[in-house]
Amino acid sequence: MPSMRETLLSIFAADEPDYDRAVALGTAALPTIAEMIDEEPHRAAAAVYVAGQIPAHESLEVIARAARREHPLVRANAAGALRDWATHPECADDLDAAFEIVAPLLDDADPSVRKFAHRALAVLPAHGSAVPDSRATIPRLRR
Amino acid sequence: MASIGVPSPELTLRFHVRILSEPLHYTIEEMVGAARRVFATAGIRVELASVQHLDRPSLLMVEIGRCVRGAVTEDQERLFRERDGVPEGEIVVYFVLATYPESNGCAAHPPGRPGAVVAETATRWTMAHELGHVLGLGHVAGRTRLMIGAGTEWISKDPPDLVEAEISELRSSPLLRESEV
Repeated sequence: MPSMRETLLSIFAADEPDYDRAVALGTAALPTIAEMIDEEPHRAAAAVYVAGQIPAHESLEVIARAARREHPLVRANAAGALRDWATHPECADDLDAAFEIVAPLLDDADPSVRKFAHRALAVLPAHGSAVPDSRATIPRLRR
Repeated sequence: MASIGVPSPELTLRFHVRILSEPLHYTIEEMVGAARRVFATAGIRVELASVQHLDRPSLLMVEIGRCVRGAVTEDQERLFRERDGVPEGEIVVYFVLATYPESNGCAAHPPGRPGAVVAETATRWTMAHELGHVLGLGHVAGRTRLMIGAGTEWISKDPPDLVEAEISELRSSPLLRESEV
């Protein structure tokens, strides 16, 4: 029987990966996904996407780690994953934490990171006022 | 399952390339060459009609959603509007940095604007595989097949196979036309 890592790698190897198969692995996949966040950027990008589809607090920790990766591709995927994660009703209680992850990405040097960060912000409508620093952050980004 | 002799008459697949980001592992010329070899086995001549570079930083990374036929994202809508100089009904392949979620390519496109995106991680066969989708083919199993669903990096035959049913499907596409003699 293939390991979790082998299963995920075989899914990611497809030209058009069947991410539903990866998401169906559920929270049991998150430890392996967390390891992949520190690996080759495209693999980390695929891994963080999967994390974003699994509505668990542990997913948010994985996304936060990806959001701090040096490679912009991983940060952009982290922002996209955060947007997806935040739209799960089960995650409603963690949206403050989600905002703290996305805020530094809003004025990232990379245009793809900024694009996905703003898409994430759009699903966190209450957080422009809920988080004290955000009022200072957002106008600066729009300048 | 066996391939048949090269069908006739020869048909032409005319397509255009728009480059937002160069691929990492293979050149576009290598991918075009690979497409020519595999589609030649179906009696289809591949003609690269134009190549242009596009400076669109906001589309370097393209959100593709679930990448299913007939469903496109805002990013795909914007990208596939970039068709300057492309006649109606001709395919455009957009080379981008990456997709969200991560993939080597995606052939979902807006109605009337046939095309595909190919990401920097593309293999030698990804572009031909995506063109196969645009022309109506689905995924199959088997490492000798162009339309392998497990990933074209596993393809073990050059050119990979198109079986009779796939060739019939390809040749019935309205996006092909009879070659000029």
